[in-house]
Amino acid sequence: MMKRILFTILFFYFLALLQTSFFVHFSKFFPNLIFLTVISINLLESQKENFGVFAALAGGFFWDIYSGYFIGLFTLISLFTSLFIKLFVKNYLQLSFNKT
Amino acid sequence: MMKIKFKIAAAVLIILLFALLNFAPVRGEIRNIFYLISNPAQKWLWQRGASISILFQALSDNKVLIKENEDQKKKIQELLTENEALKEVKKENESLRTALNLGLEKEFNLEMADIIGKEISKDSVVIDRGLGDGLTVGMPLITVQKVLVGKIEKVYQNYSSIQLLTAEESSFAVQISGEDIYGLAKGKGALGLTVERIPREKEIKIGDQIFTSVLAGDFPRGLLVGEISEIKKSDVESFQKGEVKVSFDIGQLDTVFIIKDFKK
Repeated sequence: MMKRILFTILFFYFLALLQTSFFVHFSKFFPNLIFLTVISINLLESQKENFGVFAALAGGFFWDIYSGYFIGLFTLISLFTSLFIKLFVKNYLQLSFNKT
Repeated sequence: MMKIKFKIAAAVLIILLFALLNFAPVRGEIRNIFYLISNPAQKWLWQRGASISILFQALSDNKVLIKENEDQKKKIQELLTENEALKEVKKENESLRTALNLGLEKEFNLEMADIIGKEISKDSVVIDRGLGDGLTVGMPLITVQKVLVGKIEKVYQNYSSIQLLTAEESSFAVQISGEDIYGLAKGKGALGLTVERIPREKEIKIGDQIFTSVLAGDFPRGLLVGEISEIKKSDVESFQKGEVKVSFDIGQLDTVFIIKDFKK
């Protein structure tokens, strides 16, 4: 579990680095990868798991660090997105790749 | 019951942590530490991205390039004629410059900086100079060609955040093509800029160059901003406006100069 947490933190740190430096030059082709990853993790994990919420916190934090707004804004946005997927999308929508 | 208590405690802890992180001196320090750690990697990634994007751009802009090429050929013909006349003026200008010692570094007290990153979701870049280099909020940034880039928005110990002139919060007075036509440049975000408040009776053309005016306040006069790419004129409005193509390409921009001695 600890390994998974550490990996997630490092993953989002490097993703934020890439997003703010490398992918700036390809912004026409690439959307915000941090937000996209948070959404994907939450959609793909099973209903019983809560790791997506942690991923949203980690992703949002690094998104905040490398943005000019107050720290916490994007953490809240990704956290609410994660909760929205967990509480609404998964309860009311039948997703073929995640039926558990 | 225990689970709910744990969740509430975790939520309160997170809120307290973020409140602490937003406490002014801590917030600056936290960002500074992250920029300091990631500086070498960010710089390397920025430079790699810039060189690879040239290839991507060439592939995606192929059609545009063909048309542009034709236009450029026509322009070259016109420019060759103009060039002859300008050579004479240049000679005169160069001798005057030497005589008056009017280099860019003589005109302003400059600090050179490298761009190391772009802030997500804003028209803003990060440079590798900060408080330690004598920078303060509001200092204007230019390119080596004397093109206005923006101004310093936030300063950390070793880094600064730059608000590009295309940011939504940015607005400043401009003058068109050195004539007596003034307007108000406003950032649109996503590297877009418009110039508004140009009296309807004034004649402006696509391609007219725009410079900062003496009324700009935040910037010294005479800095190149861009050129008009589209004109929007209506019979019912007393002002006309135009879209502006800024003269710097953020993708290809690596080095900028900060004007340290500019006073509003």
